Amino acid sequence: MNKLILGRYIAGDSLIHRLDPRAKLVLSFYFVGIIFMANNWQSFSMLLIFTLGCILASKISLSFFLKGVRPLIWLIIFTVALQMLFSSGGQMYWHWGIFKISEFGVTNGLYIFCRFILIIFMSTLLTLSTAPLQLADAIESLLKPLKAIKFPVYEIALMLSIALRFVPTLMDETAKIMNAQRARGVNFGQGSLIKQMQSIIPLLIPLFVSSFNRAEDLAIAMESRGYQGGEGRTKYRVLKWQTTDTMAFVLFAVVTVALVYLKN
Amino acid sequence: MLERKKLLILLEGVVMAALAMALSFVPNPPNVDIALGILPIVVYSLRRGLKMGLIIGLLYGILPILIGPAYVLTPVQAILEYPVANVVLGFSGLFSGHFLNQLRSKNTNGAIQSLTLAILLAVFLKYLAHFMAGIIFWSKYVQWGLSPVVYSAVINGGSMLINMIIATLILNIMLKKNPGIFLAE
Repeated sequence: MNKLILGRYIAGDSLIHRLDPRAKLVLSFYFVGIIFMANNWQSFSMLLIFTLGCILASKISLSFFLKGVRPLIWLIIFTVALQMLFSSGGQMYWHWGIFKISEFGVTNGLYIFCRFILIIFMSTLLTLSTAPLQLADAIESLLKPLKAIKFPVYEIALMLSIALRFVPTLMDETAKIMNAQRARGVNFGQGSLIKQMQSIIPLLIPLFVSSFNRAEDLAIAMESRGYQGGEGRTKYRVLKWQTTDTMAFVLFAVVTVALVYLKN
Repeated sequence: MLERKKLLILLEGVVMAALAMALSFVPNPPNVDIALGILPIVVYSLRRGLKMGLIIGLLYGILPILIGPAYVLTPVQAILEYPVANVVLGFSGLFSGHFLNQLRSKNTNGAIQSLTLAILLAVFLKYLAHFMAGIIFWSKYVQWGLSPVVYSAVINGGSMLINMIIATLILNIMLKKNPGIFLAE
């Protein structure tokens, strides 16, 4: 709750940081998709080396990526354990009732572990190397074709950037009200479910009231500055597609070809 | 004047989406996954209707992906669990007209009724999306052993029931204590 710095973005000036956010967004989603093609140790090692290369190029310490794994560690262990204990095939190493550890199970467990790590590293790399506002710009730019079906692209983008601005403010306010209520003896995150609910009401009501007040203040401020909404507004941050972005696409195409070649 | 009202409606939604995001950082009691973010989106959808509710639900669904705490495991899973699972919260706006009429005519029981129906629908649809994401996830990662359908139904069904009860209780108490939150002038 005390971490009021929004998101996980780590400022830097590496090759990865400088890539166009649109390229990074599309390529990381694409990468998460092609990971599922890997099905033997050759293809997984190639993807691992490639991902580590990207991490090195971002000049961000590996420990930040390992932190990204932490919240999911139990899910990963559980899934890998299930896979190891219940699948059979190949040489049998150990056997007890319905549980068995076989050659097939161990390799499958390892592959699934790699898959998790690769996906988490790549999506973490996106949020570590790209500021939330840049990503919002990227989404606006990528959604532009939807304007044809009257999807409110411009409004969504404006709302995204305002929302990103307000999340830390409201987190701050939440923390303040929680502290004020704690001083009155409320315990958050403790006690029975009923107690929890009772403690949450005196937090929520002031938050809602002040949020609606903020919206009204902001509406007046924007109106008085002549905000007219809609089309034709120029941008402070302009996205520029560069040769390195095209090169990144080429690199991912090469990785895809190598993956198709290496997999079974 | 009309433009001004439109801007206010839009900004109220933005602030509600940001509030939903901020509330997701409030500590949960152990072993219970309380999705407090549901509350601002449902309140807003009832206050401003279906269309805006859906847009703000989508906004709230994109925010965690931009900020970083989203769990991306497969592309389809990510789209189902973030944009889709939160856009559907806006369907609580289907009850907006009836709810606001009841509230304005001071018919408390009628208001409570449509508020409760709105919450049940929103939470049900949200966990339906999580349930489908669960099936996709578990069938992709675990090909043997547990049936992915059963597993996902047990996990998400439990969270759904808890969140239905909690959201219904909290919002009903809020309606009683401060109906102004639901009613825009």
